[in-house]
Amino acid sequence: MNKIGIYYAYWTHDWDADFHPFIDKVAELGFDILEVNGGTVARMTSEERQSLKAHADDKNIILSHCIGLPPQYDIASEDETVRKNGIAFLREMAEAIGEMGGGNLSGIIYSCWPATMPQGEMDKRSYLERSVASMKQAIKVAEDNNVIFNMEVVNRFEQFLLNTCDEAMAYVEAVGSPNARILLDTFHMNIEEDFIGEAIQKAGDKLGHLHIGENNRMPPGYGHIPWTEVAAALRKINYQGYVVMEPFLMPGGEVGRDIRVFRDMSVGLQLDEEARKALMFIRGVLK
Amino acid sequence: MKYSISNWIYGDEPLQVTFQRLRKYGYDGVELVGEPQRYDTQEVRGLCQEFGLSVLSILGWSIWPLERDLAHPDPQMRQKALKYASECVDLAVAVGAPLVVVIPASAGRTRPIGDVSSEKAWKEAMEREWGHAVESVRKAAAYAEQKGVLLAIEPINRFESFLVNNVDQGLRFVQEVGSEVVKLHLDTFHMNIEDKDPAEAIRKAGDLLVNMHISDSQRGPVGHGHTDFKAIIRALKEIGYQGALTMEPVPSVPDAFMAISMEEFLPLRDVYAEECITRLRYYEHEV
Repeated sequence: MNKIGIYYAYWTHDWDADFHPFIDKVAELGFDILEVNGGTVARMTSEERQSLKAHADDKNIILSHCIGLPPQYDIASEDETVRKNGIAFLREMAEAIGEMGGGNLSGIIYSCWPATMPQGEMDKRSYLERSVASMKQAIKVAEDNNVIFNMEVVNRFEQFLLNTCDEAMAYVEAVGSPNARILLDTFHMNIEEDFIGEAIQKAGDKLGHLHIGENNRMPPGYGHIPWTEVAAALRKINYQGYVVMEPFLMPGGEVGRDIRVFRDMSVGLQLDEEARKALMFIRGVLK
Repeated sequence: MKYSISNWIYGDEPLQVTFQRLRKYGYDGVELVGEPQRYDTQEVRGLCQEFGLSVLSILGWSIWPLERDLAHPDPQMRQKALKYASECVDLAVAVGAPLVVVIPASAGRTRPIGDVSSEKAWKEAMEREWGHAVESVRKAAAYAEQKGVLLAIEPINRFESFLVNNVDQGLRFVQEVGSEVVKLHLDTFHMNIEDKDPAEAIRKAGDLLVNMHISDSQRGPVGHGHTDFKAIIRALKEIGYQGALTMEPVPSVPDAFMAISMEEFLPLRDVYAEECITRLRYYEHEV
């Protein structure tokens, strides 16, 4: 059975947060993993990281890490200084995670978020080339620190470089590191992939992390994602990795703004209870 | 059901060429981009006669300068938007189209205007602009009613507008406007992202549904993705839908407007037009 997790920002309005209370909360709800913001972890002191890791261990919770790089750290940027700063930031995060025993860093770590194709641009190849060159440098630190970098494939409205599993496969191959893998997300696949199960199978052993959520970012079970197709594909490729849900229901704040939750989708729903229900649902699906 | 194609996907292609394609593949009519200055309405009527086609709808707001923003907080801007709305209604009358598709806030604008950094400010601004949009559409409806033209409100996904994203919001909007001539439009691409069950959304819309946009889950032609068109056609039959199935298939690339200007798309215009109608007709006969 895959380890199942949830992203802390389900409960928050801002991206920065104290993760300690969420460790207790997700342990109480029955999850195996808490996914946290890699940037926040990198900005902590060593002592703070050790305390976070000790707390997680004590509650038997695995920490996974995710980030969408902000524009000043875009490793695909035309501006060399921005790329350098981005590479340095990826290294910091890899070292911070390494200090906690290693693990993964997933998300839009190959460019920035959110970002659409620059006006008038018809060809994204130069962005990809710069990104791959930067990633080759940054990922060495991941290799030295027992950290896997998972490139998140997202929909066209949030990023323009890696929208499909095929594109991510080509990217990971170009990077050519054993620590470079792919993150697929059911919400994004619903928009971009012709067939969701097929995309998962294409990723095969390159699938390093899986995000789950409904077509409208509700918790699994509230939409039309074909969960049996997802589960069948995961079994076919013998996926043993993490499965982390990322529901977003609340409008407002940084999170509501960036995720574009423009209607209150939590009306009549109790967040903890919904998380617990979604966990049971997904354990049933993956059984 | 009638079959139609929205001509925004053909860029500035001469109408003659578009009409030839539509007739060749058995379409009943066309949806014209709501650019009132672009057409010689006499010529349009002549082409309709020549090719045996009808203009089934006018697609308002397909490009979105702020001057077309019915929700804008500035009353002068809203006045300009209303002028645009009346020009679209006039165009509809001149070419014999029964309806104008209306996007109630400027498409492409994904947040309210002004400072919306706090959750409270965000919610207040949302309500304010929703109110402006309802009032604007009510005024536009008074004009449309005189002219015997329907207005169809289109919910669009969160990445392209912040105001009306799904069927529930669309229905609430239509109810609040409370005009006999204001109805609903639904789009299979947007519903795939925002609605729990697109077929159920159609049943909810019922009699109010007067126009449909059709593309597959990744905005491509029918059959290229995972949208359940059989369920959609079944729902349309259940509600006794008499309107048009208006195709808007485009290549699946980061930006839809870039997509339609790609040279690779030119030879695909015929292919997509044929695929869409062939597959939907098959479902129409099958269910």
